[in-house]
Amino acid sequence: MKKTNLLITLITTIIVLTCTILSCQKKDSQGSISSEALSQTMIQSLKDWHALNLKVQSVTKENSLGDLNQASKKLYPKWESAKYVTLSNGERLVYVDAPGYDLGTNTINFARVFLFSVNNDKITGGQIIEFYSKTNDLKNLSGLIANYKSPTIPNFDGSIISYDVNYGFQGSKVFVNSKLIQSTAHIEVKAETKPGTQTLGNRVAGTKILSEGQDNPCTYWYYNIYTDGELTDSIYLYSTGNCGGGSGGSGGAGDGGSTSPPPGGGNTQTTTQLPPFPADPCAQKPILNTEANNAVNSNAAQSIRSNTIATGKEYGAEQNLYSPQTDTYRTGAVRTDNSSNSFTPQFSWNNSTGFTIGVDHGHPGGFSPSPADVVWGAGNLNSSQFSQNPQFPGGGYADIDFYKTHFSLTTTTETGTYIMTVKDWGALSTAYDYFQTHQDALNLQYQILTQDDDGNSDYAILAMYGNAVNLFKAPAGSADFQQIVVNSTNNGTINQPCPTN
Amino acid sequence: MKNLFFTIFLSSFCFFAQAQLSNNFNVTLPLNAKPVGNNTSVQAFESKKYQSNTSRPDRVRHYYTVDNDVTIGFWDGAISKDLQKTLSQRMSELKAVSALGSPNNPSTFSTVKYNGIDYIIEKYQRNGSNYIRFYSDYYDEKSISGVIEFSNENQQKANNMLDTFLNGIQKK
Repeated sequence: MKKTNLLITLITTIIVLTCTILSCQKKDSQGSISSEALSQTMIQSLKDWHALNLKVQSVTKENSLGDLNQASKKLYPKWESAKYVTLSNGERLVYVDAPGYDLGTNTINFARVFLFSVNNDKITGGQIIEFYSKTNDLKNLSGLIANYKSPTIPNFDGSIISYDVNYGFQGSKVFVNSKLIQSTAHIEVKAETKPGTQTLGNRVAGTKILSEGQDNPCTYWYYNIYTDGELTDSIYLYSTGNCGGGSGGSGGAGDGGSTSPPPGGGNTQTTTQLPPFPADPCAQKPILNTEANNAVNSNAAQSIRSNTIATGKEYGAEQNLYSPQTDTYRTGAVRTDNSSNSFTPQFSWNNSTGFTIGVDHGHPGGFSPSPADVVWGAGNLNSSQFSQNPQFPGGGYADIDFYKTHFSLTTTTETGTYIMTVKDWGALSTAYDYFQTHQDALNLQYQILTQDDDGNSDYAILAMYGNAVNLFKAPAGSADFQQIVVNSTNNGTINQPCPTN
Repeated sequence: MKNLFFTIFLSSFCFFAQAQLSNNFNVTLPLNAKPVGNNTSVQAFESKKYQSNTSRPDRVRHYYTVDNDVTIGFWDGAISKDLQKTLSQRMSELKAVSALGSPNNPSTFSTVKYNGIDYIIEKYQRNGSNYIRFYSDYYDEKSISGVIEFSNENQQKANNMLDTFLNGIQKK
């Protein structure tokens, strides 16, 4: 009798647990696309917001690559399809269809949409969301959109990549067996060398619609997954430009434009391009580790550290790439201004001196990045060099997007190495503007906040600029970077834990 | 003569009154120390006097005026071991940020030890007032810090107060 009771209890428990799990799964998949039509006023508001936030005007015909002032084509929402969508987390957005794109591969399916945030009938944001899936044909997007912020999406193995409305990369999420994992997805390119020309190509965050002519270089596009900073999956998607023997299509919205993979390529083709920083600081850590361990950067860092400690002066050097298409550094000369509290880096964006995506410098006093350090990266956005780079078709915005997604600032001290990345370029630009007229007051504030936290300048810089930047630190001689954040309960500083796989 | 002895005895007994004002250390308050009101008035006081400290709402900060001409404040600190820096490293940071924030009038620094507790002493002037800050080393992730504010004519009194106050701090 007792055994029978035990068995019944066991079975009941299993049933209850199963129901609970199924119930949770069902809850995850809730959310819906509403049939409620948007008012004409709301649609007009969406159009106005979209037009206001596009960085350049669209062009209707292709331009030649030689015209550096050309504008890129932009993706436009199909406004007639606009409808409300309620996400599984209860958030209500406006969903608008986007023109499709034929990747020319059966290995992975692709779809994209626009999503707009609305608060009290006011548009507060807009994104392009791309779905890449190996398991889902993406013909019915309702469930995916409703769950795109959820850590579990039934029947979805693939990636969701977010961009702003200008196709500026914002972040990505990768799902395996319907579950979110700690990896990042990027659409990246590889260029073929054309006889008599330098290697050209483009590293664009996303399937940017390029306005390319027949003279354009052949470019091969890949869907790449990075895990812990390593390329773990790569799928050839299509090609653009003049690749010879193929259509070399323009890659425009709805166009095929696909050719065979490059010689020696195939679905496992790798790239040597530097991955951009994802939005999630935890996902940035492996990239920081890889970049710090890069031989060129590492050698410069050792020289900067030893010279700074030995002399009590700030030493530093820029972290430049040979080109945005490679991960090969040509770090500037390690040097000093003979000052104990300043170093003047030189930003460059050209083939002659390199493409600056960061700077490393020493602080003999051991303090965290100073206010001048923090805002330096935003000042470079004003550089006219961005519009003069022939390696980016269209120049300008594509260069700036690349710079923004790769920029970091390193501060080497006796106790360890700080790396700062940018979480909000708008906030950093505002801080830069303010710094131009309030440098003395900001330095004094930095001093006072360091005194307030008993000699801990980490707190000072986060209290002043935590809205705009992320701060990481690794002990001396280590590349194990931990994010430092202000503890919300007591305003002290703590190492921010990251989820483990 | 008898009265004089009695007075001296009483003074030495009363000069420092014991107070439970720190979770980590035993602290002795100066004689004639009058507390600066409630939490709200403390914030207004320190904001006006020091332009600082309002950024750490977790810290219970105690401020006193002594004889209406010198003020003293102190508070407990805490930081996890993985983010701790040595006393020497902290002094180096404070020196460097002082040179950055107050290049025309940087602080002067020294270290002292009382009752087995190591301190950084920072002296500086700001907005016409003089300040002495003290920062203890970390002991089991705990520390005590504080500040004395005074005018030029009370320099000696402030130095004596620092010496006596730190001498009265003991680890619990």
